[in-house]
Amino acid sequence: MPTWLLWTLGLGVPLAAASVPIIIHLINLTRYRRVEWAAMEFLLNAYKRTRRRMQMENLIMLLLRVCAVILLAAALFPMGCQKMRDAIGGDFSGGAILNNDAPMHLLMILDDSASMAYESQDETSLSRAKVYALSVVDALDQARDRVSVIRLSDVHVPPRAGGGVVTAQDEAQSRRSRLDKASFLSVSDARRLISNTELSAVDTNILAAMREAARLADATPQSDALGLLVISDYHLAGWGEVRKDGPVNAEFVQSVQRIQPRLEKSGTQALFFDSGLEKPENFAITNIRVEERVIGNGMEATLLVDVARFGDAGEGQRRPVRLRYRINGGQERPVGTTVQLAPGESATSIQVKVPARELALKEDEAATGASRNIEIYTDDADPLRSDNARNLVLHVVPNVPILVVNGVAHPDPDLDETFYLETALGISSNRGEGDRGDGEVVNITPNRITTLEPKQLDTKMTFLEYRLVILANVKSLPAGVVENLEAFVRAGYSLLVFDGDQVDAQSYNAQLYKDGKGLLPARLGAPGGLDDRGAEHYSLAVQDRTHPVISLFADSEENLSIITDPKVIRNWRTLKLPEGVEVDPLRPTNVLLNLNLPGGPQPLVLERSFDRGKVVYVGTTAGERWNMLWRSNGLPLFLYLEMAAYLTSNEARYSNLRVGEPYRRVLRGNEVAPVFTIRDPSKVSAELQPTELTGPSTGASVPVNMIEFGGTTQPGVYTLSAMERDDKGALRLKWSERFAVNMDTRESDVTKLALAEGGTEAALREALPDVPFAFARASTRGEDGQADFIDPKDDQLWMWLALAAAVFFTLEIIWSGVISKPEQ
Amino acid sequence: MAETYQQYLDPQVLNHIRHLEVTARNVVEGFLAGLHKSPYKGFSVEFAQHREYVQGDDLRFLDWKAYAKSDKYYIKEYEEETNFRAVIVLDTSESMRYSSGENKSKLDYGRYMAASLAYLIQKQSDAAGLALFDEKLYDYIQPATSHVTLLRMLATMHERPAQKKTNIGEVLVDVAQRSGRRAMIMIISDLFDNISHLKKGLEHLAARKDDVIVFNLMDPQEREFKFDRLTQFIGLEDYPELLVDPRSLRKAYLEEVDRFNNEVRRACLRARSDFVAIDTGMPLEVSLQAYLAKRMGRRG
Repeated sequence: MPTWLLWTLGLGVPLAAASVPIIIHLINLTRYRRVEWAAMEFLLNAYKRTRRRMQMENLIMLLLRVCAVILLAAALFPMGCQKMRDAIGGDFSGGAILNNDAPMHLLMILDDSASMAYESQDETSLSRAKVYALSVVDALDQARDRVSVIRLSDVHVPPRAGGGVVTAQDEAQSRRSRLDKASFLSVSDARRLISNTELSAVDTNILAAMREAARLADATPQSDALGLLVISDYHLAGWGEVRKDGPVNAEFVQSVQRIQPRLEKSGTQALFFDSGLEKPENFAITNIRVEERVIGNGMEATLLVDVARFGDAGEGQRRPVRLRYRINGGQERPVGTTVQLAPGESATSIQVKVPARELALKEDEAATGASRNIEIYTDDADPLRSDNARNLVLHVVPNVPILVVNGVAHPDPDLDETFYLETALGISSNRGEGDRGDGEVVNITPNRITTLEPKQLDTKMTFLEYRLVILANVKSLPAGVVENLEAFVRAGYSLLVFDGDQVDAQSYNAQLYKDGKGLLPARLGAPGGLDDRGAEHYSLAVQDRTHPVISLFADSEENLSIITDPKVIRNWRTLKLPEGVEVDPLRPTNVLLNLNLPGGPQPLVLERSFDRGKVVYVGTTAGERWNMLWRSNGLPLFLYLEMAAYLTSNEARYSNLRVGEPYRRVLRGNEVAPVFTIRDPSKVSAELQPTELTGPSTGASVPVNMIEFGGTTQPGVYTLSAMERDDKGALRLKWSERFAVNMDTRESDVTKLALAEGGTEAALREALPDVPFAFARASTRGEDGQADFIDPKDDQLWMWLALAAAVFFTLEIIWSGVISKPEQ
Repeated sequence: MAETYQQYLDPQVLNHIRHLEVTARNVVEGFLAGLHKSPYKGFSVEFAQHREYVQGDDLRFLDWKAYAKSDKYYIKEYEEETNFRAVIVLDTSESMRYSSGENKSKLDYGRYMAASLAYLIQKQSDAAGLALFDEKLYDYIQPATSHVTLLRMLATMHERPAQKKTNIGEVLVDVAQRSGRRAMIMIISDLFDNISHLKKGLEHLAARKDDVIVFNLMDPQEREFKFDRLTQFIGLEDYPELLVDPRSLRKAYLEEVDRFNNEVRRACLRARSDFVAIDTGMPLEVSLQAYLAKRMGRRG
């Protein structure tokens, strides 16, 4: 909005209003009636007697009218009130956010994150934000001014599928590709963009948005004026990071200060506009996870549900949260536990057991497996509905095929390299052989183990029918097999490598490590330890407690002791972790477990991502040739079982995404189809083309087909359908699979950014101590159905103004109607 | 001309008054100082001759002195036994020009009033005369009973425009001098003059024992001052203009009017004159009827 218009509206409207009674008075003075009058002597005598009083009365009446109109205008026109306050030196610094002296480039950060769906009186925070944004844009010069709309959904960069690292360069490119379409827009285009903005369900990343604003400020021609408007709900989630004690406050201040000189030069100020409520409250299901990494047919699922009560409304009173769930939209079932939550409290890991029979595959699903969508929801809806329900899609698989390449096959189980490993991974049910038991038969693992000897490996094998390939003390691999293994891992599957006395380190380094570019996470050195069963054994130490597998052991000292107490490793492989040019930032090596050696820790279990898949290396044997792990307290059973589940759980991971996270799925041979469609929660379908990963970039000798879908913009359940043509050429469903997308849990936290004393504005001023800015917020919708935009201090001021205006009008009416009214 | 000035003999007014006369003739006669019932015995009544008493004569008029001297019964005959002289004094000053809304101007109202009264007086064979004045007495028509005199009065009233200021005191003295012997003086005016002048004139008439009736005409707007918007008052009779919000002035104005009316009433009372406030917004017949009824009541 140009300055001249603000001034006109700000001071002009009340002043113009004030002049109305005076103008009316002056007009009336020229529009009198002329009357010939006989009783003039009486009139003159009366006039002489009352002249002074009459003049005073007229003056008072005029003043009353002027005051009343000014107050009314100021009350009904808060922006004007703000301007008045500026003019009279009030502490409100929300002066001109716009400038009319030069072409204006308005930077508008528009929060369209998930929390902006917070609804109050049939109005969301986003709808209030849009109304305000449009009112500002409408005040700009249509022909001259430009607007850059920085929506948080455009700033949001989804994580890579499979947890791949996103570089700063990737982020910048991703953002700019979207933001460039919304930058330097004409007023009409900006208006259209704002009007069409919908809730995006992404999280709030205000720092990134401010950085983009600073970039756009730098790109603004020096001759142009600059304005900055930030419209958000100012929830702690997102804004908490930039407040004074937040982790990125310094960077935030730096970004704002980068813009500030341009604002000063333009004679404008940043305006932070709060379109949210003052004391919001929100019950949310913040997370659902399934304890089992892979659900096979016949397994039960243990869901762990987190709920929380966000916000500071309610004055500390506890309120109950009841949960229900249903599978594939079927019969709803209550969750037995009811939790009582006070504001700010949460309950984690509420257990929901889903019986195996409810998940069991039907006959026609037995070969392919099937998706089960479990929707968990709260009994009562609240203002932020999007997090009152959460979906979890489980792929119930017939089984998880695992290939074990046994480097040392032997009839004696103790001497066989993989006997114990195969046994551990292949535990199938809660019944032992011949155990009739009571109740339902429940499977424990879904694994189906296939064992081969190295000589059986064929270069034609793609491995794509397996989820996990385990190399156990395998001497070396033929060249073609390595390439296929790489393609297999790139496609999102996993490789688990056990070292051992048979391993040809030189060959492994050449074929699998490849100076840091291959599958192995480290260069292999010479074996360590004495090759004598009576030699000293060493214990393990946890290096990465946060790793999904290790964390299971590291959550208590008792569990940790399962790993750290037994001294079970006799021989190991010395390793050289990637250094210098061998370090691949996209594929860093992560040490999970060390070996406690007298000379210092020796990395024993390592992991690295390899494109979409993972490789785990264990620096000792799977069998007992280098260790006595299987004779310890069950460590390898749990460790390898969990590791296998972790490495084969990619499908589960891809089936439960966050908003914006791309869906990627590798197509096996029989899954390839001519047409793929994805239907989103709004029932809108889009056709997808599979991506074929071939050629030198993948190094795969066999093409890998993959379905990728980046449009996970809304929470809910999506359905991927593969269509094939029948004999007559008509399309028919070949198979389908579902996946769930849930909103970022951060957005559920509706606690306001506020200090103990002072509200959002005070917290912002503390976060930006040297930056002059204005702050305003939207009131809730009034009875007239119109949203008002007011400064927080004005919400009382306008009432006083309106009250004063009413008093003045009443006085005026009394004065003119009673005191000065002709007597009957 | 005759057609025009005869308009003042408004048939409707006259009908009303005539009707009044028919139905309450006594009242009218009383008002006109009917000889026999007048409580104001001696009005315009002068000795003319004696005649011999005949049966039926009123013994009150028996001349006992003549009986003592001649031992005969003589009845005193008076020249105007059955009529009297009335002079209608009509104010034609500029202030009488004022009228509000649909009302007649005070001058027109006065003209109608004068004409009606003169007609009734003559109708009873009494003499009616006319005096028109503003700053001074302009026209004076001696009281007479003839219809020609009535027509002359009407014509004179019609021709006289409303202009100049009022000087009622001197005018009343002049009227007294011109009327000669005692008469009934009917003053029709808004009396917008210096009150002391009015007092002086009334006292002069009172000294002559004239019967004076003061009809004070006021327009309803002058009486109530119900203006509702800014107004520029253009003063008649050389008064200045005044631009004012009348609502804020009304109270003081009404006080001034009350004060003036009270002073006029007091002056009339002191001069033993009748004071009749006439609202020109009221129909003429109603105003006259009200006064006549009042006068009748007073006569008992």
